[in-house]
Amino acid sequence: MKAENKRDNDREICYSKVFFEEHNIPGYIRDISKSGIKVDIPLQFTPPEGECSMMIIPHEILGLPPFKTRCEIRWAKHSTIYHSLGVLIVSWASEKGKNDYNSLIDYYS
Amino acid sequence: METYIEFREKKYKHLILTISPFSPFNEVLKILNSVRIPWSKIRIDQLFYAVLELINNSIRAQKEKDCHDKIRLEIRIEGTWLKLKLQDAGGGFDTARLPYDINAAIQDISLNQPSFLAYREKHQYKRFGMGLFITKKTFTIFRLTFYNEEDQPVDWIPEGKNTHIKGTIIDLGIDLVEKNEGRKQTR
Repeated sequence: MKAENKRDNDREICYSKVFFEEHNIPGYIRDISKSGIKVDIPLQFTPPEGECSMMIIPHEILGLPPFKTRCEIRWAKHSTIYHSLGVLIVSWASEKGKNDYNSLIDYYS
Repeated sequence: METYIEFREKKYKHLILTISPFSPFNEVLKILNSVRIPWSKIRIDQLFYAVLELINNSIRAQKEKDCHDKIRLEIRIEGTWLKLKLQDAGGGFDTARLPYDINAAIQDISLNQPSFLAYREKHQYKRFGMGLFITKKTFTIFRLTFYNEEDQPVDWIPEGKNTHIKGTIIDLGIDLVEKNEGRKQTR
C-alpha cells in the first residue's frame, strides 16, 4: 500500500511507535521510507533544530526490539488531534538497528 | 448529499469488518486504510488512526488469552454521522490501571502528566497508554462497556478475577460534516 510519493523513496503506510527521548515525547509512525518517516504526535511539541535522538519501537508482531536513531525533523504541521512531523533518519545507533528498520519497511510494503 | 462508506470500490451504509487476532497486522492496516468516506469534512485517516489503536489493544488482549474469536468492527453511516462499534473477546480490563481517569473530562487530562511517563517506562515504551484517550478526544460519542457470554453488559469488579467478562465493546460516533448555524444537534 503506497502513500502519496513526493520524494525519491517510495513510502509505505506503517504502524509503529517512536519516542523522542531527549524531549520525552511519544509518537506514531504513519508512513515509512528508506530515508525517513512521517510521525504523528498527540500532544504539544516544538520540534528541535538540528539532530535529535529518536527511538523506533516496531509493532510487537515483528518481534524486533526498539532501536535508536539520530534524526532531523524536516517539517511540522498541526491538525486537530496531532502534530505531524516529517523526520529524516540521519543515522542508526547500530547496524542491527539499520537492518531492523529495513525489516520494518519490508513488512509494510 | 449522498452519504456512504466506500470500500473496495463499492458503497455501503453499513459495513462489518472481522479481524482475526492472529492476522498479519500489515493486512489489518491495509484493510482499514481501504475504507473511504469521500464526502466527509473531517479527516477520516485521523479517525481510523484512533480506531487502529483500539484494534491493536483488542488483538493484544485476545492473543494474551490465546482467544481466536474474530474482532468485529462495525461501521455505519446514519445521516451525516459515522457510528462505529468495536467488539472483542479479550476479557475486559481494569480501567483503573490506565494512567488517567477514563471518566474524567478530556480537558482535565494532560498527556504530559507524570502518570503517562511512568506508564511508558513500566511498559518499556512498547505501550503508551494513550489509545483510549486519543479516541475519546477524537470522537463525539465514546462509550466503553464490558459484556458477558450472554451478551449482557457487566461491570469490572475491582480486585476480582472478572472471569464473567467475555470482552469489551467500544461505541464511537462523530458527525462528519460541519453543523449548520441554528440547527439543534439532536444526537
